[in-house]
Amino acid sequence: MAEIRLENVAHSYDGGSTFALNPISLTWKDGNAVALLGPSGCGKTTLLNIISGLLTPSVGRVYFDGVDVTDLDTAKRNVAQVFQFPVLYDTMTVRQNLAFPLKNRNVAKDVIAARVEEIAELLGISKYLDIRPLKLRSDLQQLVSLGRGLVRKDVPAILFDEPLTVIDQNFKWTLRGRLKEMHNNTRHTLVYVTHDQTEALTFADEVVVLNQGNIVQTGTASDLFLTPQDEFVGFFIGSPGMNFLDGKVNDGAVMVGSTRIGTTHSATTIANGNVRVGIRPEFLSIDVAGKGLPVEINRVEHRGGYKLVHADSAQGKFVAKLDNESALVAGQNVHLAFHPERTYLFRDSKVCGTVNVKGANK
Amino acid sequence: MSLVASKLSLTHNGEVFLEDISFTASPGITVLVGPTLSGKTTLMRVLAGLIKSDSGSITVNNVDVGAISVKDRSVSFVYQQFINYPSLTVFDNIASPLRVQKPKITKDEIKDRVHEVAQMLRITELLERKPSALSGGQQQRVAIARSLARKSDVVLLDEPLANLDFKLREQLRDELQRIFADANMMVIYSTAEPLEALDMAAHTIVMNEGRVEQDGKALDLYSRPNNLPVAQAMSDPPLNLISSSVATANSESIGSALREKFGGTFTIGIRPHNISLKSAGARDIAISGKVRIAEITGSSTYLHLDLENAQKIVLEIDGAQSFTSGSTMTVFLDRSAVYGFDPKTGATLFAPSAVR
Repeated sequence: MAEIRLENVAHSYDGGSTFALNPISLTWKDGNAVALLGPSGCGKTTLLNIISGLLTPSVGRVYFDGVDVTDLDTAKRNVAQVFQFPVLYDTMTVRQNLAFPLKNRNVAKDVIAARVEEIAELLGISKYLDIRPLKLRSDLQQLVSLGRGLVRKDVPAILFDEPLTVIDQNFKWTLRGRLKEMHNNTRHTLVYVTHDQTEALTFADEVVVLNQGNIVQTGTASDLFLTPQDEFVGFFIGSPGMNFLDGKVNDGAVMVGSTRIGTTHSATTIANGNVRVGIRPEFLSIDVAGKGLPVEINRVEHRGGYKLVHADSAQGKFVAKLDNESALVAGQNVHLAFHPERTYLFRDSKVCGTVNVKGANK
Repeated sequence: MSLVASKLSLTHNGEVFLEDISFTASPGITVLVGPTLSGKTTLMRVLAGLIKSDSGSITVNNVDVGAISVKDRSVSFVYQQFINYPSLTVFDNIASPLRVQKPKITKDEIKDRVHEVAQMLRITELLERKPSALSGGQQQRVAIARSLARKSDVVLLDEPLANLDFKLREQLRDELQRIFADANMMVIYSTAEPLEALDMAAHTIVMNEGRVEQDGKALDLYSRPNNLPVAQAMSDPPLNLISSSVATANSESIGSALREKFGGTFTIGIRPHNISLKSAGARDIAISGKVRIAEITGSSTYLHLDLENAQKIVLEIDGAQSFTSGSTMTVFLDRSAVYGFDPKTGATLFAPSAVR
């Protein structure tokens, strides 16, 4: 297992006129599980391919445990990879497929046999070991493919490119848990690319959010959810994402329309003027005292365990996540209270201040 | 207007693909929900006329379409893997089926229709581009636009959002609801995702192993499933299943704690958000388990616990909370949210009266 360090790495697919990945420098600790999360075209797969050696970066160096591997190909870097779709040998049984990466490295037969059994058990594919992968459903084939990626213990890192795309919804839950458990036990260095935030957030010690070729924020699931540093992170993390409303700061008072949401935090006093007020659907509630922001409810979605209430205000549309007890109907006029400590102020899409509980919702 | 499927069955090489499927779809969205291989795609292909069922009939607006060839049926199909003609512009991609339609449509009307659907799907500014210059989300919009432009009686959307980014899915799902809300066509929309079915809040059909298990409003299927497959198809995160013989914290079985509802052995079903760390009242059922892992998403924490006899449960807890793997703890099942299923047939023995 290895520490992975990128020094000023950037990549252009067209000889330098546009960059799919802008200069990035970072260090991932040995044994960490890192997720690269972002929409399609954000540069996450480019970054993964630079680490695996499938792609040589236009600029910058890649180090594994301090050793420069930039000019080494994938085989020489010795990393294990799992792709979005199954990559298997049809002429071999599942057992032989799983054993192949070990056999290639001249691992002792009994060690291989035991390791293959162990991995098959972890992935729940023990009963398919002696058949050929082509006879299996595509999601089972993908499990075998995952197994091939996980079977070797001596790799510097295991790289996953959207590995659960073809896995059934229900089984994803089980599998994600098993992968995390495996990581807790083995502490492999893992790099995991996905556009699915639940996968990224639950799996990784550290989530790297990318957008348009830039890293916009790196942190734990809680960091990204509770303290987004950028409007994109607010929007992209969370389901639904953060609401943004037009507001104003006036001598410390944070106003949305004529409603005072709170005061700016003393430590983050900001200049008077327009701001975007960001609040997650989870941190809005109905203010029965009628002091919050006046809104008209436009649609109520029952999500089973909770309700999503879509509302319109003069300052913009938004969504509140409320529990099932709240009896609300479309057309109703209510007041929404903002949880002040979870309300963030943005300028030029970057966070510029937070809100103090004092003087909230007046 | 309506589409009526009656007793459709299909067996191939001894394997049952569809078994006695009957339902009626009215104008607007009908959602088919079920796990992978439940028969959704096969059913859609039969509805489109791409494969023939062994028995049963399909009528559209009271006309039996069984004898009508595929190209003469008024039906459009959108696949999970969006398909566009790479050499044609977006405009021509949308217009192409209209140009071969009979009776012939004038050039001006084709132009009007393309612009109308392009506006609905917000791709007007992309009309002169080639598909290769579009993102996945934009390409799928083009494929959907093409299916709408024909103004077919029946539009079949087979997991149309499955290959798109998570965020894009949220957005497009809202838009599709808006677009199809007033549509004068039968839109059959399949998905493997329970939340998507709940979001659509439409007439919903749960499929499992080639059968229709239940048919109704999405929220009713969620709260009052006929059987275990329906409850599972409508639960994300997955429904917890526990044998009624598992011991509670004071060592009686869960079954005996629920005896007033139903005696004997049964399978307990409870959704992850209905299990809490703190007791909300004396009627909650306390149960002990060992922490396996905790998954934190920021908005919530999924806590995986091992119970006795290799039974496992997952709790969904608000906010981010840490737990020590291997430690023992007591959690509380909300008794008013517990389902009971027959362990042999899967039939619902009891269900909570209301959604909580």
